[in-house]
Amino acid sequence: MRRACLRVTGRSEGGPGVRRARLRVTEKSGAEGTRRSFSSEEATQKDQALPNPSWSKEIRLLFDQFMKKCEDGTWKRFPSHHSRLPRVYCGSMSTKEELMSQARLFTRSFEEGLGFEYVMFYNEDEKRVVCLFQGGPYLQGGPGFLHGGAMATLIDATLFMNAQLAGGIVMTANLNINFKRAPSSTATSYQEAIP
Amino acid sequence: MRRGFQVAARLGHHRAPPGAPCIPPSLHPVSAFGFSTDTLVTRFCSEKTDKKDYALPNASWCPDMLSMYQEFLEKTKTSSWVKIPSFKSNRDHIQGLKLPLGLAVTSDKNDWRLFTRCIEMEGQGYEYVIFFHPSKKKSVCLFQPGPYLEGPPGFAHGGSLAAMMDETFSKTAYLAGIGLFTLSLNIRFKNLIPVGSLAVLNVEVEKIEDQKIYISCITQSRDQQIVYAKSSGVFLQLQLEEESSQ
Repeated sequence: MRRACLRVTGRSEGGPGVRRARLRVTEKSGAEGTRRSFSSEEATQKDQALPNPSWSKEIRLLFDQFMKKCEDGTWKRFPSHHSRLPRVYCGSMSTKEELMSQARLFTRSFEEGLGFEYVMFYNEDEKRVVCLFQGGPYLQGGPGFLHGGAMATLIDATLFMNAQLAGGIVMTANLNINFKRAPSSTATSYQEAIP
Repeated sequence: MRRGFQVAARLGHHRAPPGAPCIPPSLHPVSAFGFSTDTLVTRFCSEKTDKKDYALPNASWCPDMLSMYQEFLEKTKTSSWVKIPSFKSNRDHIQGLKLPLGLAVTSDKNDWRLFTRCIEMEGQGYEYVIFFHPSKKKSVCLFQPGPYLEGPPGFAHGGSLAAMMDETFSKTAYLAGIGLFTLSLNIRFKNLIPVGSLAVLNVEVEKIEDQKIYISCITQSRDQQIVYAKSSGVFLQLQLEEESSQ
């Protein structure tokens, strides 16, 4: 197993503070979004922060370890959906409304196994968020490597969750990333955001 | 001892000719690794390809993006700007070349996609085109985020802009001096980009020094009245090798 160290500093507008993240990379040996229409009858949203057939052994193992930690209530799992609330439009929609009705959270815009496969756990007492992440083939940068921007996206998402826990509604003001090693595009990685 | 990019840098150094003169921290027209910017651009923008170019207008492009695209297309005829093609994978961009030994990742899979071309449906994900000026080592990226890139409701995810910046940096750094891997990325977000609207990324190479390319970007609205973000990045220069013919 290769080890890599990633130091991330982030500052949220909800309050001062520096968030640090450490990254450990393990190697994994190993569809296109369709339009969906939302209506009040089809408001079921699948929680995507759960194992599916595309998950490797490594990420499943880490998931099981953290689910065990959730049994005594010190850690909790963040559920995650591809959109927030169903958007209901009456009558004919303008082009912009039609565009917005198809909106999806960026990190959940991919079919199973093709993009971001991830789950976040948080510990409120320690103010820590841990993200288990497996990149898919649609996140490529250099041939065979994970795109730096895909990594930046997940780092931003993890830090955002941590900042939100601390300070309510927040937005990223500053994101600073020093890359130490390029993970392969299907590697499993472990990110931790701590205050 | 830290490995990773330090090993890659040493690999690159092995290939530098012995006794090579010290390159001043300025924009050198010929990279230390033998390919001039003009050669890289010619090779990169070769018309002899059957690969689909995604950096072309389609029905989802907003009027601002279309008209600015036309403006820059005119500049490609009159003032040395070059439109960079955009394929589904970076493998297609470096056909005939390969990463140095020890860095290349081999695989028989062919379902890989460049992250910023991950969503093929017109208008749903990344719509963008990059224009590059070889002698000034500047780029302009016209970027329109679609609804699948959402973060805050109605606005583009900060990560999607980070990826667009990293991608534009990556192409610019490659053409300016075979900058291949991101060493660092610093982004200061100022305002949110509405989904479906045009953001213009103005990118400039600041200097090339010690096997690193320093590059910066301002992302603004077309009229430059709204600054969406400012960023800077550092890329590692490496030498690509010619693939041996079979």
